[in-house]
Amino acid sequence: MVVFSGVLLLTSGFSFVNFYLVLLGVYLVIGLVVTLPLFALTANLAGIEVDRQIDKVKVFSGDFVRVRVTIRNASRRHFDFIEVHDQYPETWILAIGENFIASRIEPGSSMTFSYILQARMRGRYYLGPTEVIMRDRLGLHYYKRVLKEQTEILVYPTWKDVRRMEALGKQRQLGLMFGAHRTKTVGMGTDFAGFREYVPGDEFRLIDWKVSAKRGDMVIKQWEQEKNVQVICMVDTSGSMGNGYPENTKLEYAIRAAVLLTHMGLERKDLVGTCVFSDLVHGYVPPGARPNHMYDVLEILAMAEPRGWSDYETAISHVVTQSKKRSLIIWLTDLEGSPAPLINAMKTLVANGHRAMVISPFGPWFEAPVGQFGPVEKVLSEAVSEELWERRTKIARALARFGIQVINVGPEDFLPTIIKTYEKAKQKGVATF
Amino acid sequence: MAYLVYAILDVNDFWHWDAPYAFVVTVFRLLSLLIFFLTTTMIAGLVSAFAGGVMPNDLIVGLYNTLVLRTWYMQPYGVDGPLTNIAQVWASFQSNLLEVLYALWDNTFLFLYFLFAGIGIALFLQSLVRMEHKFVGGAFLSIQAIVMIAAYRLLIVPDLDPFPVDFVEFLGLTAQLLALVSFAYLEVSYQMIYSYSVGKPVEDREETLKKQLLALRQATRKQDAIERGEKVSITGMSRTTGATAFSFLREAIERKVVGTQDALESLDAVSDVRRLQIYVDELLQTDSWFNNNRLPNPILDCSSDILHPHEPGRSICTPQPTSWNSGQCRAVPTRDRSALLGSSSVAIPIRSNGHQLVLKERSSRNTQTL
Repeated sequence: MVVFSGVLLLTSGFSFVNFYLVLLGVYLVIGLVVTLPLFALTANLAGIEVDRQIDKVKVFSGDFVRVRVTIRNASRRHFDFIEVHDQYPETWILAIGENFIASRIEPGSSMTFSYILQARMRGRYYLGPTEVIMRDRLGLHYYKRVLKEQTEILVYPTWKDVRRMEALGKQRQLGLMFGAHRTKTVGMGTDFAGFREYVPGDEFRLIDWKVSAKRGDMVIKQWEQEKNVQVICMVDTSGSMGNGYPENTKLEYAIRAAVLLTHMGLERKDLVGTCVFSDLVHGYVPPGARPNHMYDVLEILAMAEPRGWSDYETAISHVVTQSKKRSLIIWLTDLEGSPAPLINAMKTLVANGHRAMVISPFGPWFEAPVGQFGPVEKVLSEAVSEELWERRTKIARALARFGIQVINVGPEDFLPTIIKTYEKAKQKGVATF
Repeated sequence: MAYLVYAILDVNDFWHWDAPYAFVVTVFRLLSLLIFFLTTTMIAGLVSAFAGGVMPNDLIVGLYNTLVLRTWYMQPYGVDGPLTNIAQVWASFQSNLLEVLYALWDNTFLFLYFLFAGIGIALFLQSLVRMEHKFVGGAFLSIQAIVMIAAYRLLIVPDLDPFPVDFVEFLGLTAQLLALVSFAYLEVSYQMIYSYSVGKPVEDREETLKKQLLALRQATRKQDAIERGEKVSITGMSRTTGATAFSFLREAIERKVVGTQDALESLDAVSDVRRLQIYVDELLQTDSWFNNNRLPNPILDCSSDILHPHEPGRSICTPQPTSWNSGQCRAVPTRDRSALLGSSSVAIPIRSNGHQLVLKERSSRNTQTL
């Protein structure tokens, strides 16, 4: 504004041969020019310290984080006007407060401001950098510095599915074991299971003589033992798993399913492991029930990114090497990779005594609804869908030879399917230990 | 500055209060002449088309007398009475048109002086309220624009012509004084804006935060009330009882509207608001607990730095609704207060097997010195 005024007055003065206007223009321009070197001499932000604090370094997606920023003037001079902008990840939401402050700061003093962010989308994020702008009193000049220091925050996958499931369980007054049946094995154990008729080959010590005497026939007393299952969840993070709406991709659903499965397993004292793989194994948490098990799983899932291709063979050989016990291996994969390695992987798996099943998100169900397409796109998408469906039918047929079931899922039935699968495995006593 | 400009330009004798009126009347005179010309042309065309004859002279004379001479006020162009013959009408029309055009040229400048003076005063008044550079700069430029336009009209304007060779004489010249006063106005105004801009963001911030927290509180109350089937009221209610009701609503939604994506998204949004309210409540309670129990000093605000970014020596006591923080207003030496606030950490409880898992309680800190 001042530059514009100065130039306007100067040009007007020269045009109308008026010394008053020229003089006023000169005053303005000199005022501007003289203050610039003065400002440049003092434009030194050394001594300004910025300190950022957060109350949690690991949060769930959707949780809130309070960020406190303290600006301290450690120098002996005062700053007439400084602005501090603390930057946060683009996908996050500023829930309460503002992420900047503007004020004057005296020597040796400090000012603090806080704001609350809502963490969105799992992954590793950084708060910062912080931008510090110093202005002169007249607002004519400014000097900007960016502090590169960043604060790392790990965002776990969302916990809302677990919360929702727990809320429903509590309200029904049935507890967390609602819907789950104990896996029992008749034979060894201490719990009485019932009687049956003696058949040749049974051990004599198992005959209940009293009951046999009463019935006049030989009767065997049976005992049962409670067993737990061991499940390994294989989460495919190949590039194709990243297709779909943001926050609702196939991979996001697979991760939510894995979180839910692990949580349910831990609640019911089962062992649930998780393997995150694409063309290499990104992380593997063996089945376990340690106090930190859930967090270990969350951590590897938080870091999962859709990239690369699916190398099922490497993944299964890694898992088989690490886990010798018989397990139910649940694959969460879109089956868009080459089928041969998948079948080889399944052979390895079955040969090692494991059981398996595939829960497969079907790509077109996760992408744009067909209703939003024009006629050409509609035809193309239907053609692609049909081809994909045919392909996965063939794969399912090939896997069925190994007794491996393939369940196609969409966004709406992904999580219910994983719950149902787990409960069925519990009921049938698949992969007990 | 405005007075100096007025006084210096007054020698030209154009600061008459009727100047805007004269300008408007001149414009309308010109319009009435144009309307007369267009009307006669149109009627002449119609007459020749339909009657095949020449338009009667009486009609033209009558139109002129009605449209031009009697429209604004009686006989404005120095004639005694209505014109009676066609030659007089066209002669009068020609001379009046030229006269009006010249008057308009003259009056337009006069009008612009008043316009810029009005804009300047309006912007000056705005700058008193809004305290922004653009208003101060606009007021300054508007007043100076009067001089520029007058200079373009070759009127007597403040000038340093002939330019004095004696510096003392130069300093005492009216035009120089005006330039100095104008520059001083800008300087002083900018200083005032600076003072204002240093304090205002902090106040704005407090205001925004209060509004946000209030909106959050009201949203939560509404949810509670709707869930319990009550009319929405502004009375406070317990968050604990509200939370119980809330969980039933959630189940109801999931049972009845289950499956639809929209319903689940709305559910998430409601849940987010609720959790944010709980989180903010916990933060404020933690901070006020420190204020009430550890620091028995007078004055100052009693909520956290979320509400008040603080500086040393700053003592603003802002009344808060009691639901935000239960404490009373106390003074908190900044150093102690920062340390205490810094030590507060919050854990979101995740219930598992009836036990509360604390996600994380340690703080992370990053410091960088420029």
